[in-house]
Amino acid sequence: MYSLLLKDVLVQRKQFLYGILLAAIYSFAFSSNNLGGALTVFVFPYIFVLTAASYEEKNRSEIVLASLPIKRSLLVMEKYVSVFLFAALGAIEYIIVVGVANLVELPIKFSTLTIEPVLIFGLAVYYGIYLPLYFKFGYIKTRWVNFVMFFGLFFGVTSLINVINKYGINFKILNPLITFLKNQSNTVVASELITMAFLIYALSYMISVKIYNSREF
Amino acid sequence: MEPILEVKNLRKNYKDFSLKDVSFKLDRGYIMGFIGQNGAGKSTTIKLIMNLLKRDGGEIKIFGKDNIKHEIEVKNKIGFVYDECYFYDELSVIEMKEIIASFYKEWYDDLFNKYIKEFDIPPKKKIKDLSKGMKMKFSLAIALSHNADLLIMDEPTSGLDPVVRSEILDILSDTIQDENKSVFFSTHITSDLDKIADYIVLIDNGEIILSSAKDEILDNYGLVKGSKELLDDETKKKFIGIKVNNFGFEGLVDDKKQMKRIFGDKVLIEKPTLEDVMLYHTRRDFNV
Repeated sequence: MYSLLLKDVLVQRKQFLYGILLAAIYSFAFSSNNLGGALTVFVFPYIFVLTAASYEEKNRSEIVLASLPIKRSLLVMEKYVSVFLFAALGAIEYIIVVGVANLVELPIKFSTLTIEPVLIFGLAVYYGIYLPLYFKFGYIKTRWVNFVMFFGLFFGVTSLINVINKYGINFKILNPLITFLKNQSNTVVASELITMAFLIYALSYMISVKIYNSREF
Repeated sequence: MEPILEVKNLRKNYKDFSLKDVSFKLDRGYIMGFIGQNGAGKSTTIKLIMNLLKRDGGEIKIFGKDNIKHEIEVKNKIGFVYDECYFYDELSVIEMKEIIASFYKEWYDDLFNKYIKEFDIPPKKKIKDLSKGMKMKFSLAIALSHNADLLIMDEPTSGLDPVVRSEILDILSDTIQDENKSVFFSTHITSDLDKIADYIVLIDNGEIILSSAKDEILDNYGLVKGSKELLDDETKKKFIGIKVNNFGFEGLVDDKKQMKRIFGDKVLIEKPTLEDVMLYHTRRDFNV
């Protein structure tokens, strides 16, 4: 597992420099709503998981990996783990950027990083949907799916919030859920979200293993 | 002792191509050349052996074990070299080695270092900066550094210059000095096999049409040349393939002694090359 993760990091090590730039831009641009950190953590896997996959497809290296004494389930597992590895690397780069900015006392306001359970839930759902498609169809065929999902998520969520604000739509059907959540402590809601994220991710992993086991090269 | 590789009635169906009941076996200590035209089914067979494709029927046993049920165990003892370098261009030779080495139960760094020194491969160079010959030699160094008993090679010499090809063939010959090791080597460059192969398997349109010891083929087969007046419907049947032109005929037979008895000194019988054997077996316009 370690070697597979290392390979995904090494093939795109130069990208991490751009990552620092990205973290700085997000931190500055989203300082008003304090979303810079969360965005960096979400965007990092989008960039790095996809870049690793694109190199794999370009070099046709899946043929080598499938010829080595490695279980295909481990190859699948590595991609699932790499999502959170790159998210963690995103968080580290973000902390470095903000840390350095504070150290040199730049007269700019940066957003701080808080890892909310909803962020972990979002990553699990997003890649829980995308990765089975990737293992079925490969990088080239699914990059547009990912593109649409990614921008759909941002614009979709923003538009939804605007619509709700404008028309005051009342989702009666969700009321019992909202009441249920309101009656629970933050810790309980967080642990529920994390558990759901884990279940979704585990189910997605099992589907991907089934798909990848029957994949031909 | 059980064969190191045994393929029985292997089948794989595609829309426009099928592998039809492919069978052959390779014992320890030998090099088997797997020959055939492009698209004959060589790579499909190798991919099935490596479990890169799913078979529709038949059996593949490596070291006496099913290649799918015991996949990890058998792959630990297989070294593979494919027609192209599928390693990561972005990594250096040494980085790629480190990653691959970690997956094998046995790995001998001293052996790997010996090979890359011998092959003049700069360890810090990125794979994308290696020449095609160097990439192939790097693949070979990887394949030879984990004490593999079976080397599976799919067209490893295609596109290489004669010097590199010759070096690779020498290394394969050295490998076989250990009688426990075998090489399964697909190619359409049959002259490579003239030098090193012990056995030849010829595949055409998804079917095995010849499987025999190379020396047996070269001793028994004959390239017969003579005047076309000698040919009639009866004698034509003795040929695997015939090429007729205004000056006479040239044809391949699998029993040159029989030809000698039939035609005596009226024909010239030469020893065929493996290329002749492949061409006369597979070219439709040479068919009798």
